[in-house]
Amino acid sequence: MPAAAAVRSPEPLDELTLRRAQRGDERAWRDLVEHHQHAIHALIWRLLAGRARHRVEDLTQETFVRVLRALPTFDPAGPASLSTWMLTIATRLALNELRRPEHEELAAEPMGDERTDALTERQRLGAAIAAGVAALPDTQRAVFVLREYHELEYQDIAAALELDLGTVKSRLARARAALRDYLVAALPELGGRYA
Amino acid sequence: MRDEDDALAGIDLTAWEPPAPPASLVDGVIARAKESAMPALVEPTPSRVANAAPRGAHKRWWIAGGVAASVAAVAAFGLWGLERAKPAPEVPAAAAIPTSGEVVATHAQALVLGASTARLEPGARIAWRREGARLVVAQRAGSAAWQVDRGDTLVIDAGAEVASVEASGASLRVEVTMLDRTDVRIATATTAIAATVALVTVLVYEGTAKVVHDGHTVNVVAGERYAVNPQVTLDDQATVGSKPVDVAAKKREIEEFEQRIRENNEKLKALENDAAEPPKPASTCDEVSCVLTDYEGACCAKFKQEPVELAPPAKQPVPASTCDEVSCVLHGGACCDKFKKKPADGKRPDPNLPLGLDRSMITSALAAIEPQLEACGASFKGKIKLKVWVGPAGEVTRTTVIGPNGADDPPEVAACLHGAALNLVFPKTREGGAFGYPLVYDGTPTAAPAPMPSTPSACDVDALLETGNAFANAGSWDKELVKFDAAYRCKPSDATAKRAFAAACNAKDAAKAKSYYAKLPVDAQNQLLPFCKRNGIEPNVGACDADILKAKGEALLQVGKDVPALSMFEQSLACRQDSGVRRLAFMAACRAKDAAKATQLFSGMVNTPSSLSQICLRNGISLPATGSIVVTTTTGQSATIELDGVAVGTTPVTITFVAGQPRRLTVRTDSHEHTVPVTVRPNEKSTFAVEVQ
Repeated sequence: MPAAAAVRSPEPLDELTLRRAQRGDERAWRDLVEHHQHAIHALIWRLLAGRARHRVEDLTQETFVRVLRALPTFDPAGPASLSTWMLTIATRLALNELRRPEHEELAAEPMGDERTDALTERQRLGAAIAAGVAALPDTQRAVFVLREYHELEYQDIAAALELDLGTVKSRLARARAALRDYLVAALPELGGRYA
Repeated sequence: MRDEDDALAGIDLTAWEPPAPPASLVDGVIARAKESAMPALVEPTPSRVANAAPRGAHKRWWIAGGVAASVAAVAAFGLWGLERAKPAPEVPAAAAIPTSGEVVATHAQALVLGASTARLEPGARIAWRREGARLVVAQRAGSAAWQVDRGDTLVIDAGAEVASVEASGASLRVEVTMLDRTDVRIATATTAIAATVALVTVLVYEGTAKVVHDGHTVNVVAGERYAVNPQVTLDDQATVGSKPVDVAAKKREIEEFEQRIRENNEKLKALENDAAEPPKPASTCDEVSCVLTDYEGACCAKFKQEPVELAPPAKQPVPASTCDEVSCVLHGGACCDKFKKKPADGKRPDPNLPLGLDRSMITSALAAIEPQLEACGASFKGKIKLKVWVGPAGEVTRTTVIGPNGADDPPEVAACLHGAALNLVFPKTREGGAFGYPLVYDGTPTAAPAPMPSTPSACDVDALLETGNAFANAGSWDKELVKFDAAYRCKPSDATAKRAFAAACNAKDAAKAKSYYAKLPVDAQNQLLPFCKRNGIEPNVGACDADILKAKGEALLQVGKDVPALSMFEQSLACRQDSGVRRLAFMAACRAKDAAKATQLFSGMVNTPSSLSQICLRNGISLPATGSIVVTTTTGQSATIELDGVAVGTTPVTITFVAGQPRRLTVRTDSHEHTVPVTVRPNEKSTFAVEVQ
């Protein structure tokens, strides 16, 4: 499994809460959203890296609204877990958002207001990863984020993005190589490690 | 354990941390889910909800609505000739901004009106009409945060003509709270009166807003809040009832009403603190604000002192609410201990040092620059107060000058005093201190400054610095700059760059100030920037801000715009040499398939990782061959190695660079420094043992 997972998928929601939520119980809805909000918000935030960040909250809400609407049809015994299903919905919404033409001309977010020199080492690394991931093509970024930060299996990523398994693997490898190149360029102190 | 390639092995990807989801997310989702699950009572708004209201946010509107709000809303809509409310608009695309419209926000929502925008809170009722650059708005109820572009003039009719708010190039928040009879407890008020009973509060974050009400005009500046009380007077009250007027009872009602308004103001403040809004300035009742307003207001009484003699040293602590590192750099204070760098040995400051400045320290320091202070006001008549903040190391951290007409008045004298105060030298203390110094000038020119030392030789750094200091003491900023400039060219150092920068700021030499600003370390830039700005120079503005150019380049690189990214990185490098930026520029050149620039940049690089070079190779660019040199010392003593003035490490160190090009290798120890030319052969590694003394 991937070593890095800043926002790991939460433990599965208990079955009783899930059933209540499927029946439209508001308390259960609330529990479900609270349970998964960090993962969904983080996924969308990362997928929109560099562009359309102002839409993160909208899309997070939209994901949950769609999930709650479709929840009665969700089969807990089906091929996808609830969290994978939700991540899939969130991923598709985010990718759709990125395809909207008005975002093409939006300037990417800079790495931050703080001067790089003043950042701590970890903050600098975080900012560099953000910039490097933002530079990836959308589809590579989606594969990378779902794998590295949400620990989805290749098959789940393939299903979520409607790709074949080989494509998922090759995109993941390309994304990692490109990110490594970016990090080496942005953080010279990493250079020796990959020289 | 990784099950894939090791491309990112060892990189802590968790360093890229997402923010927490907003607190209002769950409530927003539930509200929308319920809305979609139930038959709509009204036409549903589109799903572009920026952010649903927090659960408790409805409390904010405890005094909104009712008959008064309805009447006000009708009046507002009538004003625009609109008969019924339309659905809240989506955030429109820039190309399709409607010239007029109206919104009744049922949830938090963004409103884009061209270059200006508003963030509406649930309950906000807004109608707008654009007339060229003029944006005319009726805000009848609710709260909205307005971001007004410099090219726009926003005119808000707030609270059904209770007040008019006008702003341009500003950020402000306008709150309109309609008060019904229950709220204001005016039993005899008619509907007509109630319709005008609205509490309008304007809070300005940036810029200035002009508030007009009841024939008065008030300019509200950044950080200030202004509340417009409803126009309910005894006369008004007396005419609305049909019974004989009981004046005493009416007075009591008004007092009660005013008390109610005060309570509402406090509630609004408390709610506002709870809400996630742009950061607000700290309370304005600090000593500096009081000085600027000539101690106007009761809250300033505690600061009021007669400036008849040297004030005792007084700490100017940063308020707890604003105790961040930047404030602490500027002001110091007890809350700043957490930011103070501990001595290298980790011990606290020497307990034998005095706690803070005492009178004798201040007197002797001032005596040393007294001729300079006198010279500053040679042609000025009047009283000026100089205030100085001193750090524990004895350095001046901040100065203010308050003249007859406020801060930095008159400008020439103030600039001179700021610069002179920087020359104050104090002994070390544990906490530093601050003091005020009143200066009374009678307009009599002082004697000519003492003769300067003889001109030093062309590259005698110490002599140049000494002469520069002498000119500084005499207030001859331009001459001081010449000397420090020469000293820097003779032997560059951060300390000399700081002095040269300060001299350039004092001398109002913007070009030199910008040049030296770029040479300063970032912490020094941050520390000295306010000082230079006070002299009317903004050295960080313009084409030569390496960090901004770098950030722009990175942003462009992120979206695959490699050619403009390369241009930004090149401009950044022209502004300030930085090996990291050079690598980014090289990467951009490779991606842009610009072989000439990639080769040129590569030729100036050292120890370029092969993974970076491969970007070029993948893009069909062949790079010049490289060679390596291993630098050691014969004695084993550690030495710092620089290549062409750029530090590359300490011995033993391997340096790889383009073969066949002569470079300058500098070896430096505490007691030894020399520079030799070096070249490397393609694909060879040689050893260079330096003999250090």
